[in-house]
Amino acid sequence: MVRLVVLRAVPLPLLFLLLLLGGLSGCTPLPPKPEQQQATADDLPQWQDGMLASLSQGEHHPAVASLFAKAEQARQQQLWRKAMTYLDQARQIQPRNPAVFYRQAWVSLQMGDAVRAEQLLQRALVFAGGDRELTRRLRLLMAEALDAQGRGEEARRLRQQAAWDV
Amino acid sequence: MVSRNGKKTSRSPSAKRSASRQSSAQKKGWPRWLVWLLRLMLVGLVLTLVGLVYLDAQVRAKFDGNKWTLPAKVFARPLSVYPGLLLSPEQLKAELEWADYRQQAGAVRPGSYYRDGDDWVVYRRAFPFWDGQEPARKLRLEFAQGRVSNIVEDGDDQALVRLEPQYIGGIFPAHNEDRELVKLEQVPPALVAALIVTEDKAFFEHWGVSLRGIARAMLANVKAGGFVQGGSTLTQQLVKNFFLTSERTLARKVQEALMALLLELHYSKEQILQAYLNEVYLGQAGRRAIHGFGLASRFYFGKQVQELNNAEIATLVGLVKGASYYNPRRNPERSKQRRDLILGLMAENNIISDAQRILAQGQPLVTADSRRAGQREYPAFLELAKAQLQRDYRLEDLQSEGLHIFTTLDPWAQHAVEQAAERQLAQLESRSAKLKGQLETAAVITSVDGGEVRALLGSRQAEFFGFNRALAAKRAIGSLAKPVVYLTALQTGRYHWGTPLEDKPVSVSGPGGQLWQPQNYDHRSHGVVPMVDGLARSLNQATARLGMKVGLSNVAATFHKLGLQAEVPPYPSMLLGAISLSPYEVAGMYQTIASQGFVMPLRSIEAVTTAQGQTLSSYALRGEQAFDPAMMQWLRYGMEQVAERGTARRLTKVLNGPLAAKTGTSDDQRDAWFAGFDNRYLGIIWVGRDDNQPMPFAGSSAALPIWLDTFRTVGSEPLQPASALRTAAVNERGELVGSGCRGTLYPFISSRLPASLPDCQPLQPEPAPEEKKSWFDWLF
Repeated sequence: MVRLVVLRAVPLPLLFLLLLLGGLSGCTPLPPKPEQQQATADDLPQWQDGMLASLSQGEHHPAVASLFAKAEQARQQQLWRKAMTYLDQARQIQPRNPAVFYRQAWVSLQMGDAVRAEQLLQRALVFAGGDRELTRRLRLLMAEALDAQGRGEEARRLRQQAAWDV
Repeated sequence: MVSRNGKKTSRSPSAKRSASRQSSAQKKGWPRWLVWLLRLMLVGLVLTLVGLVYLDAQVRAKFDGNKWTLPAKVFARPLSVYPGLLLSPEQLKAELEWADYRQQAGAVRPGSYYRDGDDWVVYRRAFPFWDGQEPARKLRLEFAQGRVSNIVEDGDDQALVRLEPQYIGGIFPAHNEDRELVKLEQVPPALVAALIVTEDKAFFEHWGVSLRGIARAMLANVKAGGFVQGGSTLTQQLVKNFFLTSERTLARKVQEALMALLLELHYSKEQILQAYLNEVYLGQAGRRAIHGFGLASRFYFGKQVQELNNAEIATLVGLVKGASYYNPRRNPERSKQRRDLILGLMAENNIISDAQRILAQGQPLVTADSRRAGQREYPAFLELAKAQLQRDYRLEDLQSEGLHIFTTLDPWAQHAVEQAAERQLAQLESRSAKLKGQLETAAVITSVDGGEVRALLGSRQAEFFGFNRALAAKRAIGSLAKPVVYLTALQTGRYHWGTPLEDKPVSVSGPGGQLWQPQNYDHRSHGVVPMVDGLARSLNQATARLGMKVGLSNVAATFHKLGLQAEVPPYPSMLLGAISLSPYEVAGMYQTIASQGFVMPLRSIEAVTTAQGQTLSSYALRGEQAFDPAMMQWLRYGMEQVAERGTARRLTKVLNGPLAAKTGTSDDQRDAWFAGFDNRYLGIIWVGRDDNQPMPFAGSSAALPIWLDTFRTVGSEPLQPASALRTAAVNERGELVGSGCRGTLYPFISSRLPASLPDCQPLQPEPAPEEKKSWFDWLF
């Protein structure tokens, strides 16, 4: 009864505003949807001394970032298969993220599997959209994968293409 | 003889006689038979010793080595939970229950959960994942708008957690023994104590054989006038199960007693108990023999052995006397009586208090749902996993090394397709009494991007081991072949979706003189139609004409480029699907379309570890790019029209489009097919009869509903816009025209569109189409 009286005492527009504010304050901010994130070149690790500096560089969905961090730990111990396992879990969360494929391809190269590296980069290129810098970085790594397979001429052409993209 | 003084003496005859008497007296003292007996005994003793050494070696070899052949354990994929994940409460509840989680206020022990408003609190058990052992974790999962909004553990936000995967079956050796090894310290002390007071009260006092026990048993047997009680100790029982056959002879009984003594000589009571707890036979589940308390706990109660309560402990201990006779599922009354008797013994021996006994005896006999994880298997999927594993592993190792196999199976998707098949087939059969029980089905669900097999249905009776139609049934694919024909046409560069096709009667004569005259489903011809209609409306005559123009060999080459390894018959009827494939083969082909042109082997195995958790293999994504992704997007447009306004338009009435689909019906409606994919999953469904008789249904009415029902349960995500395509106007002749001209808009691969399009011009007469000649004559 008391509550009703209080409510009646509040003017209707004010009540509406209060309810709206109350509703908003109760809303939990929604986390990023993993399926809607588009990677850019900034999400790829930097190079340092001929190697990727760290697999965990860049801004990522929290779940993917946590897997990249684990992959980086595995990389530091040169546990390539384990690193690959974490990266593949990241891929299953974001199956079209070029930043995941890039890392997987690089780890594949460390494992001596240049064919798989090439295949993964082909996928990455499909999902890179129109991002030129991202495409350029993917092509440069692809050139390494081709070199490792003894396909030097194709690698040279790719590097040329990548140079035009600058 | 030499005398003391050194003189040589000789024996007198009387002395000789006396010596001879003495010797014969000796001989009389050791009769010949006794000597022989002694000799025999000596030989016997040596033989016994040799025998004992042999038995000893046998006992030690088996007990020190791998005691059991452990079947590989196969697990479904673990459910990865992270903020942003779309996850329905129904799915979460089901996944927890399938992994044998109990709803429990406060979720105080691992393996329990409760709901708190929209949030869920899950106490996840410790689990040896393939990338490392994870401890038990108590997690709060918060939800907002159908998605996980936050995961909290001890006040900290977590980015990603995994629920432990569901056990989905084993790869058993011929004897089908299955067990889950437990250590003595994992087993509740009450269980061990109950076992001892019930089966062998003097276990800690005897040396493997209990004379008191034998005497007591003999007395009981004499009193009863027959065999009612055995005098075997736990050690003897273990020896019997472990080393010997079930033969009941005196010699075997002696051997058993000797081996029991030897076992006790070498091993501690604790080691013997642990072996017993894992060895004892406790039930049967179809082909699986349930051994040991670890597996029995999961099998009968859906729990880990640590989680058993007193009533459950007593029920399991009761099974030792007769696993079939006291089976709580089949003979609940008998099992309950035995349980209560054992609870009484437990109270008498102060293992539990009287109050605990009363409470436990008052409990009804509750066993886990027989469909639960401890028992449930997915035969069709297991067969696929086993076949794929055998590429890298020997079958013997899979059957004996206790490997852990982590697969790609998504139990929620599997559940969805099983339920959908059951519901929809029942509905189809309800239309005609003749059809009752006649229809069969098979299904393959994969992830669009990774080619991971998420569900596999080999029969409408999903739980029976038998003919796996998904892998082995080769059936005519009907119109599921059409996208291959249209893809071949698009690839030539001479066709696009607005190209006019003639849907007119076709007659092709083959080398044997027989005529091929395909009809449309509605037995009508539809005249000139844009190419997209040929696919969307599944027009046979338009497609046959198109296929003949682009060439049979080119269409066959496209089949193979899509990843099909089977032979494609070089006949025109192949254009309309006179090619017999299994649903799994069809899935492989459509996977290439769904994944934007990557041919990849469908994959059911994620990783393999040893029983100790060491990773042996992990399988990451592979797949060669066979088609330009833009070309696949272009083809996908045609398949989207099938779902938008064609033979599968029912889909987009229920689910949000765009979705890509194709219906298929073979000649005389013997096979109904449906292939379709959304942004996440590809699904191939087949419905037909095992006797290959016609059905009164087409693909759109028999197979489509199963797909639709499945995708409604797993949740459907519309396809993302085709980034490589751009629309342009096309006139009636199929020519590109500039903006402002009369025409219909169709999508094109952006990079292939000319920079400037021609201005509007008056329509000109249609030029004679350039035809590709083949070895067929064909008549109009």
